[in-house]
Parts: sequence; C-alpha cells; structure tokens
Amino acid sequence: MSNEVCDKIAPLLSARIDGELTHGEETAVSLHLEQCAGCQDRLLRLQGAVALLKSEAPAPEDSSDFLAHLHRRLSEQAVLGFSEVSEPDDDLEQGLPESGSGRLRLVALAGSVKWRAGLLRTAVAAGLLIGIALGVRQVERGFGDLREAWTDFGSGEQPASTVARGDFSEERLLLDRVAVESRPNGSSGDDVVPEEADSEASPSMQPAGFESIQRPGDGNRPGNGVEPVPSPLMAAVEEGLGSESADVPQVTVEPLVGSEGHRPPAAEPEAGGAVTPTPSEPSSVVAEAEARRQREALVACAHLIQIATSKQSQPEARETAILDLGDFDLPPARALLRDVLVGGLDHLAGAPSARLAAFTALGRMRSLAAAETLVHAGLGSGRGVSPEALRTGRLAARRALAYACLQTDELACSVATRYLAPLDKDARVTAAQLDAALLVSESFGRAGPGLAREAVDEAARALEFLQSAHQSSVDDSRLLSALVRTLGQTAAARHGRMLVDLVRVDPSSCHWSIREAAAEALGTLGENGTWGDSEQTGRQADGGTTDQLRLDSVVSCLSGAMRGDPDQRVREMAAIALGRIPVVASLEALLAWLPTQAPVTGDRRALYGCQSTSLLLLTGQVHSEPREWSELVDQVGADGLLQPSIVREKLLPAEIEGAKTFFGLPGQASSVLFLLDISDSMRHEGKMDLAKRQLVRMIETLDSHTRFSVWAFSDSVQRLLPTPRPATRSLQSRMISRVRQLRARQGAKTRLEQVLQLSLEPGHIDSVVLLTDGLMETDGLAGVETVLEQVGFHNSQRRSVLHVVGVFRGESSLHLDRGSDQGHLATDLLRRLAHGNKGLLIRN
Amino acid sequence: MAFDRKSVLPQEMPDEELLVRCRDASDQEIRVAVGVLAERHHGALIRFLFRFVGQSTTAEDLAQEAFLRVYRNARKYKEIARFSTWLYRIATNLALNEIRNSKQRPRLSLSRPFSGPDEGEQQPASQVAASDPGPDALAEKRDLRQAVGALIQEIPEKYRVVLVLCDLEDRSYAEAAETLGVKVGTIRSRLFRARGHFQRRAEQRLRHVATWGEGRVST
Repeated sequence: MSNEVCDKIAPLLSARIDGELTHGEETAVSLHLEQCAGCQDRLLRLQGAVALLKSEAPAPEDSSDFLAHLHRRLSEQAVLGFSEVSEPDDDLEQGLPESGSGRLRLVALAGSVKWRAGLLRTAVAAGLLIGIALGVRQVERGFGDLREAWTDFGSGEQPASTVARGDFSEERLLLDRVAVESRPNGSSGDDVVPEEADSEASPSMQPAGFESIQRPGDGNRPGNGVEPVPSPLMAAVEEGLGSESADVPQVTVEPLVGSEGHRPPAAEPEAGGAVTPTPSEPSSVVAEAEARRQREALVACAHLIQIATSKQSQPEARETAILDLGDFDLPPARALLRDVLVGGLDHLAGAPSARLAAFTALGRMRSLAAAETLVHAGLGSGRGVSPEALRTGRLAARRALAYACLQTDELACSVATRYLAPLDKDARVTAAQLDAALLVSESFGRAGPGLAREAVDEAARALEFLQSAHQSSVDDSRLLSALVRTLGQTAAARHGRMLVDLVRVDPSSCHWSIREAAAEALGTLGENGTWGDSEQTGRQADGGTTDQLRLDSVVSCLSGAMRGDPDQRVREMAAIALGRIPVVASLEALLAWLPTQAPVTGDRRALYGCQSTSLLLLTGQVHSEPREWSELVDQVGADGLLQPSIVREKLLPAEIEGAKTFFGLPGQASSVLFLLDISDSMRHEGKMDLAKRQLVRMIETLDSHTRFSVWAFSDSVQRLLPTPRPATRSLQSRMISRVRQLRARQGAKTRLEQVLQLSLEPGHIDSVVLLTDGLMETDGLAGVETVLEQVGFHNSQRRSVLHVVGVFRGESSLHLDRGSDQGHLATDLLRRLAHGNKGLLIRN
Repeated sequence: MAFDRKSVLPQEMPDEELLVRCRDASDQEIRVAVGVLAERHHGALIRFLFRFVGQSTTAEDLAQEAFLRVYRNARKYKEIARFSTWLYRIATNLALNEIRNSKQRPRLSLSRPFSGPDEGEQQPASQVAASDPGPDALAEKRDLRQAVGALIQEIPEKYRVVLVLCDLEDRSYAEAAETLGVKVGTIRSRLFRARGHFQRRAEQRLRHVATWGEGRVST
C-alpha cells in the first residue's frame, strides 16, 4: 500500500476509535485496514495508547475544603462575610433553621460558640467597640493588652477584668461619634501604609492611582453587597446593647447591581461599593449609610475577636473567625487586629489549623508590619511548636506573605528594598533575604513592570554585589537566580546589559542556574521588554535604531549560549528564550543551528526539541498557516530532522526573508484598512502620540501598489479615507497630516466589536491593522468571548487578516496591562483577536 | 424574588434554570445558586483542570476562580449554551492563561519549603517532565500514573486540552467543540495530534509497560 494512502488514512484512525467518522470515511478506512498491515499496527498502537491514557490518567486528591473555601470567597464579596451561603457539609449549621434559599453562616458561627447575646459577651463587644471608636490607645486602656486574651485562651475562661472594663454609659455617645467621623468613602485612601510600622514606607513608592487598587471587599467593603436585611448578628448585638439601634438612621442601601464591585477598581474605577455617592445623592445620606456600615463592621470585628480568642469556641468557628479578621479594613483597629493575630501565632500552638488561619489572615491584611511579622514568623523557631507545625507554619507564612505581595506592589517593593538593601553591607546571605528575594521574584511575575523603580534597581544592585563577591554556595546561587529572574520579569530594558553579561560570563565562575536564569530573563525581557523606553534611550519618533541594536545583542548572546554553553540546561533555556523574541534574528539563529545530520541523540535531541518549539512559536505567529507549520514540526520534528532549507522553502512567508516587513505589517496585502483607537483611554500616558507615530510609520512604508484606507474610532467611526485608494505619495502625506491632527476623545468609549464588524463587511480589504490599547468596556471574560465570537463570525466569510498593534505605554500602563483583570483581559483579547484572524499581535 | 422559597428549591433546579433565574436575582441569591452549581460540578471540574494543568493546587485555584467568574457573570448567562459548557470554557481559558503566565514565571515554587532544594521532593508532574524527561529516569518511575501524567503535560496545551476533554472526560467531539469554540473538524485533528504526541512519547519512554498495545484491530 502506498505511503500516500496511508498518510491520508492515518489522521482518520484516531476518529475511528471514537466512532466519529462519516460513513464514507469509515468504509474507506475499513477497506484500507484490511489490506495494510502497517496501518493495522498503527491503529493497534494508537488504541493501546488511548487505553493507557484512559486507565492511567492521574486524578487529583480529594479536596475536602474546596467548597468551604469557595463559599468563603463568595461571601467575601458581601459585607463582612455575613452572606447567605449554603454549606451543606458544615457541622456548624446543624439544628439551625433554613432561611429560604440559604442559611446564614455567621448565625451558625455564633450558634456554634453557644453565643446567646448574653451580658458578658455583649459587654466585651461593646467595650471593644468603644475602644475602636476612640482609637487603639483607648482600646488598650479599656482592655489591657489583647494578647492577654490569647493567654487566657490557654487557661480557659475570659478574664473577668476584660468584661468588667466595658463602659456602657458612653456607648451611645461613641456610636454617634463614629457616625460623625466616618468618611463617605471609608478608608480606601491609606490602605497599605497607615499603621505605625508601615509609615516607614516611602509615599513615593505608591504609584499614582493606587488608592483604586484594592482587594475586593476592602476599603468600602462594608458597602459591597450590604444586604437590606439586617444582619442577624448585628440584631443580636443590638439586642444585647439595648435599644440603640433604633437611634441609628435606617438607610436603605441598594446592593450592587451585578458583581462589578469585585473586580479591582483600578481596572474599572466606576465599580466601587454600593455607596459611591452620586451627584444627586445628598452627602448626609451617604455619610449616614457609611456610618451605619462602619458601626456594623466594628461590632462584627469585636465579635470575631471574641470568638477567635475564646476557649469555648469550636475549632471551626475559631478558624473562620480568625480568617475573617484578616479581611477587616478598619484603620483605627489595624494594629490591634495584627496584635491579636500575632498573639494567635504564639498561643495557638496546640491548634495547628487555627494557627495556619492566623498566618493566612496576616497575609490578607496587606500591611507591611504584618508582612514583616510573617517573614520573621516564617523563619523563627516558634515557641512550643512541634517541628511539624513549625514546618507547616513556615510554609503558611511564606504563602501568606506571597499573597500579601501579590495583592499590592508596594508591599512587594517594600519587602524587596527592606531585605535586599543590607546585602552589600553584609555579604552573608541571610535566610530572610533569600526568602524575601524568592518571594519578590515570584511576585514580580505578576506585578511586573508596575514595580517601583527603586525596588528593581535594588535587586540589580544586590545582584551586582553578590556577583562581584564570587559567592558560590547553593543559597547564594538560588538568591542570584531569583534576582536574575526578577530583572527579567520587570521588563526593564535598562538591566538588559547586566543579563547579557551574566549569560556570557566565564562558566567556571558562575553557577549554571544563574546563567540559565539570565537566559530565561533575557527571553522574558525580549518578549515583554520596554525597548525604546523613552527615559533611557531618548527614542526618536523616526525609529529605534539603538533599541534594535540592543535587542539584536540579546539575540546574539542567546544564540551564543545556545550553541556554546557547557551546560545543557543553559543551552536549552537559551533556545527557549530565543523563541520568545519575535525578531528575524531569532529565527535566523535557530535555523542556523538546527542539526544537519541524523541521528540526533541524547542532549542534542533535547536541545533540538527546544529549538523546534521555538521555531514553531516564532513562525506560528507570523505565518499565515501556522497549522501547517505546526504539523510539520510535530510529525517531522519529533522523529526526524527538520532541515533549515525545508523551513525556508515551504513555510516561512516571503516577507521574513527580506526582514523589512516583519514589523511593517501590511506586507503582502493589496489593500489594508488602518483602524486607530481614539477613545478616552488613549488620552493617557502619550498612548495617542505613540499610536499615531506607529500609524504614520506604517503609512510611510506602503508601496504604491497597496491600496489603503484609514478610520479613527471610539464610540463612533471617523473615516479619514473611507474607501481604499492606492498609496500615492500625495495621498500618503495628506493622510499622515490628518492622522497627526487626530485627538483622543474625552469620555468616548471603545466600541471595538462594532467597528471591527463594520470593517469586516464585504469590501475589498484583505488586511486590517488595528491600533489600540485594548481597554474597553467589556463584560469581563464573557464580554471578551462575545467580541471574539462576533468578530470571528463576521470574518468567517471574508477571511481578512487582522493584525493588532497593542499600544502599551509607560510603567503604570504596563502595570495595568499585566496586573489587573481588565488589563489582562485586554491583552488576552488583542492576542486572541490577532491570532484568531491569522494576524499578529505586536507590542509597541 | 427570583428563587421563590415556596416553589422548587435551588437544589432541585437544573443548572440552566438556576442561571436563568439569576438574571433578576439578588447577589445573595446568586451566591446560593453558584454554591449549588459548585456542589454539583466542582469535583469534575477540578479533575479536568488537574489533568490539564498537572498541579492539584493550581487546578483548585483555577476552579475557584472559574466559579467566582460564574458568580460575577451569572446575570449575563445566555441560554444558548449548557451551563457545563460555559463553565468549562471559562475554566479552559483561565487554565490557558495560567499556563501562558506560568511560562513567564520563575520556576522556583513557593509551595516548596525554602530551606533548600533537597526538601522539594513533591515536584508536580509538569516539572518532572520539564526538568528530566530522559527515558531512563521515566522508565524507572514506579508510578505509571505519574509517568502518564507527566507525558500528558508534555503535549502542547492546544492539543492537550482536547485530549483531556475527549479521552479523559469522555466528551463527544461536538461537546468539546462547543466548549472550546472551534469546529468539530478541528477537534478531530487536534485529538489525533495529541494522541500521536502521547503515543510516540509513551512508546519511547514506557517500553517497560508490556501490557498495553496488545489487542486486535477490528476491521
């Protein structure tokens, strides 16, 4: 049987196993199989593989607390966790009445500690409430050191003194005071740096607009999802307090419509709490509502402390209460809450899960002081803690700290600067520094370029010092590797030279892991780096020659490492890194060093695999038929040799050869439509200017055979050149001058979906180039999916190529791009738009 | 009241009906609905994600995020798709993003004790695969399941997701196509590719497993 027939049959064998062939295909395959032993064998082996797959596929371990955790996160989205959720397996709720569609967790919580709104506990709550209202000092005067509560936790009962000091007579007065002093927007402005230890953090490290980057539910959290129904816990508290609740103005608070409030407001500033004052809303009403919420928060906080520290509390209730404590954002009570949680670390040695909860809660507090506690707790010996508990505690501390760092860039920066700065004074790497560096390195992956310059430079300085000290212990190497990766993650091209030097350093004086990390970092830098960062290079509008040279030197450095480094791991990483840098030089380097003689074995084979993958990545992005290329790599690359000449002849589009049009998008297009986003978001950080420069450059490179048209769009479309016309010199210069006059429209939204539909309507356009920052008013992921689906549908007939030029600008923009949900959605949308329509996403 | 307590309980409603009712429901009612949906689907979803991303903690985190997104977007649910399709599509996208991002992240893991690499025995399957794919090392692995898991993780994610959906989660081609938003033909070719990928590597590295591959071809 000819190989040709077998090759056609082979792809059908897989579907045949599943009975997914059409009748005709089935007949053809059956006939062929009867005659072809080779294909019979092939089918047999495939069936065997599928059987192995099905019988031996790994399964995850059972996660008993998944639902509980989910419920917790869901209820985090409501006020103080007082939300109705159903927790079917929760013992806490036994014996409690069903309340319609769900049951009240906190009622269960309260019930579980046999809380009866009795005088004693109410007195604690009221006293604490008063204390909090007056400030931390007052609290301490009223209750003594709250750590005592944990001490008493050890001995059983709440101390009588704690109860006796509650002062009921002042309570109403204080409640009123809370009401008067509460700010309409809660405490959102000074989230991370408010308390005493935190005040050391430099305000300059707080990027502009940070106040809007809040964890869901923080700040004006009490407003988020406050249910019109009074919380039963509150009711109980008020019952215990007397009739004060009648004096509190009853303000109806509308629950948030939808769930937008849970997204980081940085990405969606309008999505605040339910109480965002509207111009028409009297401020007094807002203040009253806020006061009521703050009061609820204070009382609830008091109760949670009480549950957390009471010996009588059931373990699950205590754990939940401790976790919830980490979520309060009550500036006057921050230090107090931290002390309570830190006290918990000391006194909960016998209750490991509650201790872990205390770690987690500290991580959720998003304060530097809490983070420091975590670093020390993670490293400390832990009084009376078993080795196992100590180990898990350290782990929990690390996770909590990482969580805290991920929440806020400032925290990551602070940890970085604080723990890295002393490095050059004391060459010995302490465990704390190592820990911090690793954490920061992890955090940077997400925070990326949003990190303060200071922290990044600190990392570079530390790296330089350690490098010069020629240290070689394992820990040092780990620290160095972490720092190196950090530099890559920050996408700051200014440190590119250092990374290049590290890759090229004499291998005998540098641990392989550092060179590997440097190669990886260069790949990251090449992929995401802000080449042409104006502050560094003074990039001119007419090009980036300097930047291009620097990127080329990165590629040549990686290319050298790929073929010459003595360590296989470094060679492989260099090959992978090359695949992430979408320039012609990367392609050339990979092609030039593909093996030419079979068989490829051993280490060379693994490296070859990396090279093939990288080639796939690079060409898959630009080639019009990535599938074809992918198949070739998959079939030929895995078993035989992929000859550079084959790649060149068959797969690489012609324009890559010339290299000139690799980034000059129109390339082979005969007609191209440029779409320029002029919506409100483009007004910021010079994005509009950048986009216009890009567009002008592209128009300039058009040849006279290409027809082009230009539209500017936001929530409407402005057709500068409605229908495609040949790119004559005079038309080009007219269009360039009109493009230069364009201004972004204040307040205008981005109707990407509509304009793309319009542009993909029947016409004579075979290529669309979209210049945008991708920020638009989508409905989250669902919105992105809708846009993609709609565009895909409209383009399914025309099959136009859609290239996207992502206009990302400046550090804060990049931060938004990478750090927030919306920014992430935006890049994701642009990437998928381009790739789904045979195009290419290019970052500026 | 979107969930009338006198009528059917949320626990008794089909998935799609629950979501349809979320359109006019309050936040707390949606939480209840999502709680019910999570109860029904979390096990299968975590298993799917685990097999796709290769790490159980990541799988759980992604599943959590998926349900949170369901919660956030519940009011926008359209009846054109089955809930499970919608859920898996969200989860798949999250997982793909995670995979993409994790390639950019340093490979040192926070989940390992920091006292030294020696303690980090619990490497996830993907790291096992990435760090030492040599045939000998794999052949020596006692745990076949782990080896299979590692091999699955080596399949490029575009193909892997199809393999996990069709072969491990027993979705039909049509269901997988709907979940991933591609055509059935694409599923067919990607599955072929994924299986081929797996088969080749399994044959290279798991030769010691003599039991599979035996059988008869039905023609």
